[in-house]
Amino acid sequence: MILKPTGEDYKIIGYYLGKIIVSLGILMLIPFALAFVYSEFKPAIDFLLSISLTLSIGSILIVINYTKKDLATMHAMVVASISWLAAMFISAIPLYFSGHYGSYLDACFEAMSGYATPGLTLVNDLDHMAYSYNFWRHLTMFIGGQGIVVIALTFLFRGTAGAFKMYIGEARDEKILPNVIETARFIWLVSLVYLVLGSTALSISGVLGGLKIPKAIFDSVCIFIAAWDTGGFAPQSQNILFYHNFPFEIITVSLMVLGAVNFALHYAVWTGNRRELYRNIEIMTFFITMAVTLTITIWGFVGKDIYINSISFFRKTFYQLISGHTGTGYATIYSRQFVNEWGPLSMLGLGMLGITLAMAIGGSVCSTTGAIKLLRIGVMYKALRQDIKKLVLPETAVLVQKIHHIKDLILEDRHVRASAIILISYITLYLIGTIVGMLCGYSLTEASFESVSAAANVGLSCGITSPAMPEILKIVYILQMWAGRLEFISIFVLGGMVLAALKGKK
Amino acid sequence: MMKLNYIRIAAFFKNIWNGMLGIFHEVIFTYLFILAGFLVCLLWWGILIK
Repeated sequence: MILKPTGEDYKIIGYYLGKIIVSLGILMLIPFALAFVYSEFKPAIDFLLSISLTLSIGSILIVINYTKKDLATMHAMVVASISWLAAMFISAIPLYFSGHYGSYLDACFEAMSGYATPGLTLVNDLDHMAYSYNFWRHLTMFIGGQGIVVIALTFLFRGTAGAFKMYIGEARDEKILPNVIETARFIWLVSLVYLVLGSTALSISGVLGGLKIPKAIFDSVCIFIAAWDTGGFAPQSQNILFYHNFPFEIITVSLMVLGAVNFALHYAVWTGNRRELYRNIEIMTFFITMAVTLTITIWGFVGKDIYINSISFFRKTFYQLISGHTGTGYATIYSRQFVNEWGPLSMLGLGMLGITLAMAIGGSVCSTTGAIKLLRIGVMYKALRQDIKKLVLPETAVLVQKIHHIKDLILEDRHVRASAIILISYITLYLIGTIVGMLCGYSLTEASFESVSAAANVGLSCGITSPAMPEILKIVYILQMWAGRLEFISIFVLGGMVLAALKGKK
Repeated sequence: MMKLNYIRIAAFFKNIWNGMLGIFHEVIFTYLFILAGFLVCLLWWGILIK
């Protein structure tokens, strides 16, 4: 029997949702201040209107639904899933006001692409966008990559027991420190330390590459944010290709890899357990899947004279692949080159197949990436190996399969079950987007590439994503990005609550 | 009291030092990763593409 949610349930959800919306309004003060720094008065007014609206909505929700009750698991999951949709609708307002988007739906697509960190974009004339709007695009990526709930936990929550449940609802299933708020703060500490280091390295490289200092600093901060949060937005329409700068590319690759590393692993390494970096199951899986997908991709270039030497070959193949595997979506080639050089025209389409596989796998759990994730691939592989061993060994043999993730763990059925559920959910999500893409008239290769890119929160595009694409596909990609980022569970709970509200017993 | 403060200060600096070494290791790790990727590309380039 399903019970209908009570008025108190809605109040708790509304109260915590209001808190998260208020924190988003406060964060909008950053681009608002930047608009004054760059003397951009029209954007400043747009942000002022957006901030007023956001703070009003958030405050009204808090006042109307004021409660001292803590979140139960159901409430936390629903808040986590709804807050991402609310963030999308709210953050799209200044983007829509900018005049760089064909419709409010396009602005919503951009906002969700920022928060969920795919980095697919529907912006028009990006190269002439005001700095404050452009920074807001990147800031949504920073907020989403770190986690909207993580931000709220860091600044607005004070020791609620429900906080951890909300943190889990945002697809972060590892509590690094005993206290979830301390965990959220550690995530911010790591990100801010690398923000300083990464932006400085990128700025120096940009200046040496010929950029003027203010432009180098602005671009470096934006690119750091998008690389670290495995997002993929860039301040220029040509993405990383704009810079034609090898050191810049290498630095972005290192940031992408670091962004795809589990925050629990960062914690282990930062607290002295440095050997963990070479023993962790996720890192081992990353090496193997990277080698396999790189080999598949390279086979696609056999018999073709696309790249003139080994360096340019490395710069193009490795860069796109690592960008896809870490879920970043930075590119040093044009979108249509994936189809014309890597896709059906390359040997058996292996170039595009390799990168699609890499995108589908993704980075580590509890990192800023999306997709199936390395830990689950590692667990499934170990489970398969254990099952094969069971069949080969005598029936009386007792088999214990261990995995090393921060500490030695015995592989149990519940680990395999949890991994299998997420694996199947992702494959279903990839298929849904592919089918809709094909119904809109795109080929299987292109539709599957773009669908995986959206659902796995990658952002590499083979040219489908553009303001002219069908509206239905924009909506499907928005939903894919949302579901892919939250890893389904909180969305399933939201679906369950809607069902209970409609059909439940009082 | 004095001893407690000394322990706290020492622990603080030890944490900072561990953090710095951790960052150094992570950065070196990423560059080793890139180097490995370069070698794989070079190998396949030599065998298959050239």
